Amino acid sequence: MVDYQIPEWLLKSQGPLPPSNSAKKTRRSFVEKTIDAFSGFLMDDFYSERIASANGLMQGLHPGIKVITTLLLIFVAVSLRSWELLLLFNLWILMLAYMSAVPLSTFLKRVWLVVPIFTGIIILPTLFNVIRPGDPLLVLLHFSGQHRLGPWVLPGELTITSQGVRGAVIFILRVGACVSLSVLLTLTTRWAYLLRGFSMIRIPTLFINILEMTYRYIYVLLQSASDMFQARMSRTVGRTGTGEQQRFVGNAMGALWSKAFILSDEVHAAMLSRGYTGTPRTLKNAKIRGLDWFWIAFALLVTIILLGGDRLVS
Amino acid sequence: MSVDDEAIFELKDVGFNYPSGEKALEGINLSINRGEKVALLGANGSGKSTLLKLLNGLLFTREGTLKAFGQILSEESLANEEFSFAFRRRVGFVFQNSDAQLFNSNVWEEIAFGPIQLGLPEAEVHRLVDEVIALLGLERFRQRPPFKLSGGEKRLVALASVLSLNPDVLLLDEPTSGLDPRTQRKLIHLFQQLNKAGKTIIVATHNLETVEEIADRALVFSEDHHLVAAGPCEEILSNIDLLIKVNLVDEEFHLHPHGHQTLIHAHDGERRPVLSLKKA
Repeated sequence: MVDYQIPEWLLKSQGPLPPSNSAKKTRRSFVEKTIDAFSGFLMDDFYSERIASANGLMQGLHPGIKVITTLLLIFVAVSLRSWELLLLFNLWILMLAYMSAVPLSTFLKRVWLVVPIFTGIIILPTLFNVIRPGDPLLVLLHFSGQHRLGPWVLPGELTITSQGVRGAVIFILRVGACVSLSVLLTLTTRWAYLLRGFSMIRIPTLFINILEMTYRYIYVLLQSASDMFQARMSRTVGRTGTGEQQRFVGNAMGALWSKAFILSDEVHAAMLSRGYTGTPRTLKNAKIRGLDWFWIAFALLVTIILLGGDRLVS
Repeated sequence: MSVDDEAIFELKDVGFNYPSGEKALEGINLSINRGEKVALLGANGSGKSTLLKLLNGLLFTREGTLKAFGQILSEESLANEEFSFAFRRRVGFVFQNSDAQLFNSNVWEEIAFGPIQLGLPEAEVHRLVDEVIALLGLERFRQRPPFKLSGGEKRLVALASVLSLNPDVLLLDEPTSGLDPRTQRKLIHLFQQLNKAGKTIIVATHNLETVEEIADRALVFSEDHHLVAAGPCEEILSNIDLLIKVNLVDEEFHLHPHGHQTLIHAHDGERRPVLSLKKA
């Protein structure tokens, strides 16, 4: 038996723990925040999975049919020119979300918290007569007469135009409808089935398989990364500098890369072992049922009514 | 258990080096017959997993010859679709790293992957998969993504994904490591039953406590990648000098013939308790 010569310091105890109620608080480190983000991603995915497996209208539909009708409805959204109809269309999508057991707060947050901000920034300049001339709706500033600046003519006043507002509202409602439809599709369909649905719009199986694997191994690598960060945190005594933390993240990325590389080799071997020959084979998709036909008819009806109504209104 | 004289694997002077030049196996001569239960023993890095990959046609030997079912197993022979399908169907491999083996989006599809790749009819695929799910008690995981399961559950799904091909030979890389004692026992019983039904079982392990239950014959690999001993498990396990020489155990090692029970106990002069799990 090996008799280890354990150094004396290794046999000494660290003594009692100091009181934990001291006023000094440390800021959360980059590493800790990253761990939170990892678990946040996993929680979010878990939440989406729960909605996707709920018993609702959209969940019961064939994924391929859902993908095709979503594309059709997005086409409707970008074709509509009347803001009233666009608003109606958005409300209809909201109702679909409600009927698909999607919590409205989640849905509204994902769509209407993001869309107005981003599209708002894009559309903001066109509100003003300086960029796009039109009938004044609200006068903001009076200038002392017109000014010429090379090819530009600065008007006598800065106004928000009614054409600008109308355009902005239509634009935001359009983007909102498109985003709503995509969010509804992804929230009510499991990722695996959604990818399967893409095969109905002639996306090659190989491409879909690669996406599937990517999604599947994000978990393994995320778990690895999370373990690495936690191991690092458990060994960190006191605060570390930003430079030190950045170095750690750099090393972690490198380690993860080589892990992923080794893993991909193993996965390929495991596939070969079970008879994979390079051409992926899959079972046929789920069958198209009565509900799917009903949904196709309904989506077509909505398309005709909205596009027809749009012609009459504008 | 019935052991045929028919050799399933025959290796003559087989050696293998990884592309990096790292040696994994050298001068291996052995033969494994149909219906045998064989354990590959050796310390970490002795070449057990590499041998399993060679036997599964995932790696190919550059030195010596390897025959499977009487035919040379090489890159060329596996390029023949008919041979490749027949071989893949007959030899199943459960990897040590379940994460590498489970790449489908749910348990059902994972188990169905092999049968689908072999082009079996849809109804047949459904039947095979459902029966394997029932056999291993995986009903409640059917629609779950494999990567969200626990370690033990992943291992069971990995085994199921291979069993659905109904292989004649099962290659198992550390099949019971990291599993709780109850799951370990369940798996060992399953392997024993499958072996009784005529399947050949080849296990790479360093869990000496379970070797005699999983295997009848043991092959011992040294740290310099040679096959240094082969014989009945009882004989190999009682040869402590051999096990010490290949760095599998230290002088404190002993096995307990206590029957089917787990006990944790400490011996005089030992600092740590020894976990023992053995059949009478």
